[in-house]
Amino acid sequence: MADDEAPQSAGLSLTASPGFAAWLDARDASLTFATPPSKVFFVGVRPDGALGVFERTFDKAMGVAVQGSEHVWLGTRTHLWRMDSVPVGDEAAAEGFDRCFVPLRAHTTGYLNTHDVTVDDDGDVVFVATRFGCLARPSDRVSFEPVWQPPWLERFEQGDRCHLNGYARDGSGRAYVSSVSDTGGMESWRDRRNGGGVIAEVPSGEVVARGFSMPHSPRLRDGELWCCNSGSGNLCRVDPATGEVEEIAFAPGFLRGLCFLDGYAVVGSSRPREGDLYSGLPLDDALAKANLKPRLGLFVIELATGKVVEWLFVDGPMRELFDVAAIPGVKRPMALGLVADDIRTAVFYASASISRDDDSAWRPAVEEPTAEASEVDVAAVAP
Amino acid sequence: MSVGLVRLENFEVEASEGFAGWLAEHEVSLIFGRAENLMVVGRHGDELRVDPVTMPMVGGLAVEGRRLVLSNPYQVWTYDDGLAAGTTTDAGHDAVLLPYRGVVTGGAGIIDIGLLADGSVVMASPRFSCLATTIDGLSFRPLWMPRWVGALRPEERSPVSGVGVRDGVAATVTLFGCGDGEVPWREGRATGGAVVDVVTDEVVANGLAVPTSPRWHDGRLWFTHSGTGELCVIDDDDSVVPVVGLPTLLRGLAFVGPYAVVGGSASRSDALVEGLPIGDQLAERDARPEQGLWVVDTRSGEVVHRLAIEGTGREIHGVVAYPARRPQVFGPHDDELQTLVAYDGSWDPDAARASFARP
Repeated sequence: MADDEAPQSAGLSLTASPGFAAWLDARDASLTFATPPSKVFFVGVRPDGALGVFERTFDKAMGVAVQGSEHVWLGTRTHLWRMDSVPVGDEAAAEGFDRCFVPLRAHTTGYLNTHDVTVDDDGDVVFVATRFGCLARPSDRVSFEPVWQPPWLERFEQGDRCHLNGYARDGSGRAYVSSVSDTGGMESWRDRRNGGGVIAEVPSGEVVARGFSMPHSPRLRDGELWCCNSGSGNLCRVDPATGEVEEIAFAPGFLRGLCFLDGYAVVGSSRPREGDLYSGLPLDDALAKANLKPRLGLFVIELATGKVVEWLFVDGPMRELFDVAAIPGVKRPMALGLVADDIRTAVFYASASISRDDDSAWRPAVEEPTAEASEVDVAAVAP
Repeated sequence: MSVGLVRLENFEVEASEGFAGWLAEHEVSLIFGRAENLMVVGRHGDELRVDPVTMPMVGGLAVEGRRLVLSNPYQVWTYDDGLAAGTTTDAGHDAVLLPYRGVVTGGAGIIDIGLLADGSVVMASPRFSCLATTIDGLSFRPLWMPRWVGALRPEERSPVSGVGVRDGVAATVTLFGCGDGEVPWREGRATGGAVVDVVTDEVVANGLAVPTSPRWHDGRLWFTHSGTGELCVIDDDDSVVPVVGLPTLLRGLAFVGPYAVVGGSASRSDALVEGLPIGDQLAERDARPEQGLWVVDTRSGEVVHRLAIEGTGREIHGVVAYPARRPQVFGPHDDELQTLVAYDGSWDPDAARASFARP
């Protein structure tokens, strides 16, 4: 696509580097990212090879996690939503859409200032409840279930003391958190934004690397630990054994949100504003020295060279991007949101699942719903 | 008996004298769904309080213990009481119901719900002419259709208007019509309705005018016969016995001891009741349908209490009794949810760290 060709939406415009679409096309994946206060984006490739961007409104969407290529979990101001994949209609399919994500399940969490959301293949969700400084699971009968808290917090109580914000796990048994400080005093992280950040091991809570400025988005990739040193604009690789931190790349922005595709990192970038929480950090000087303005959007970084090879910028009223996740095997996702009427009228069901010969069909107690139901004989009814 | 009404100060409703006392005697509050609001009828001290919650079109309401499950046409939300047992908020609420779990059912158009023995929800979908339950990854999973309905289609062939649960099993439905799409059900709505046993697939009663809210109580099936304004019960010989007739389009039925609480809708236009027996009856008396709740003693058919709501054009879709004095209920998208976080305050982080299962 041309450099300046930009998908348009009300008050929003996106601009991508000339090679972004081709790069994404070659990855056999699409991307989803959340820009609080209100938007979630889905980025794919159209049949003509151009970038296709879809956006939906969610209140203060922050953490995004993808389960397989079937579910997108989304942390919002007061809810944790699971968006499920449903078949796309014929019209949409003709435009290259190969997946539609619909918010079908919600947990009401109340305001936990939910940051990172993670999910494993079995659907086990663990998210960072920053307002309580803990890792948590969703619950069916209370707002959340705390599961882990760093040892530097003395008590389990409401209050953001250290700004615990990121969680990395990969199913291998290793797990890490990022935190803006490892202190437990009331709001004490605010005075430690510059250089006070840590990456700590879970469950021990042992700090494995320190000296970060507002670190975010720890991630495990092929056994290696990565994170964003957001306040310096660096993508970093961390050796938890030695505490050594290797700066792999610099990009102009408050880097936060990270996922990997093949040999590339996709890093989110936010725009600090003078006087806000993301300013007064080493990033200010780095930007001045490079004579660059901070960007809102995504940077694609080639891991082998540390070079920014592609980018996607969002121009709009928002300044923050919280997280980005890859949706493997999906070329061009679309989604329903909660605002437009579609959510009230669209309906997805297995069209032939009542068996008259099966006396138990109407007895929910004796027949478990089959997870496979969505794979067979599914009809989608347009509003 | 005629029931005298007293105007309440905090909302545009009038209640019969002693309504609060009746609620106190039975240790319940009432929750009902109205056009734009969910209405919570409770007590503050000795006084009746009606608290409106912004939540449009709530039709299905079911209670199990302290749990409340409610539906609007496209969502089902499960509420639990976030308040510590035995405590009361500063505002006097002895239950704070938070919508912990939500399911989007979309265009299934759910109108009534019930709770089954395993805790799952059974839903009535008039649009698909079926009973359904929730299922991961889809809007609904159909459980049952009338045997004469040839295909699961969103065509209101035999609109299922309500579901009655007996001993934890979906047992009975009401239908607005009994076709398979040949004729629109609305054309025959004055006589096309039926009560059907979902176990045997048998039609228990037919010739009904818009029957709704089937409920099992005391070993018998009761329902609101919307089109005639009658609360009815099915006798042992399957005959439909009216218990009381009321000047309204009845819908919504809950039982409190021997009392039935029914809801009634009014409308700005006559379309709501036009062509129905109740419409003719009211027209003869040059009367308009009344709106609100009626408390009926099922032993005598006597109306013992009344909650009247001013204004018309606001339909009542469902009613349920809740075992608290004055529950506070929040809409699933209310801003107040930000400040309402319920959690286990006794959780021990040190113990959890020691036993944390490596993810």
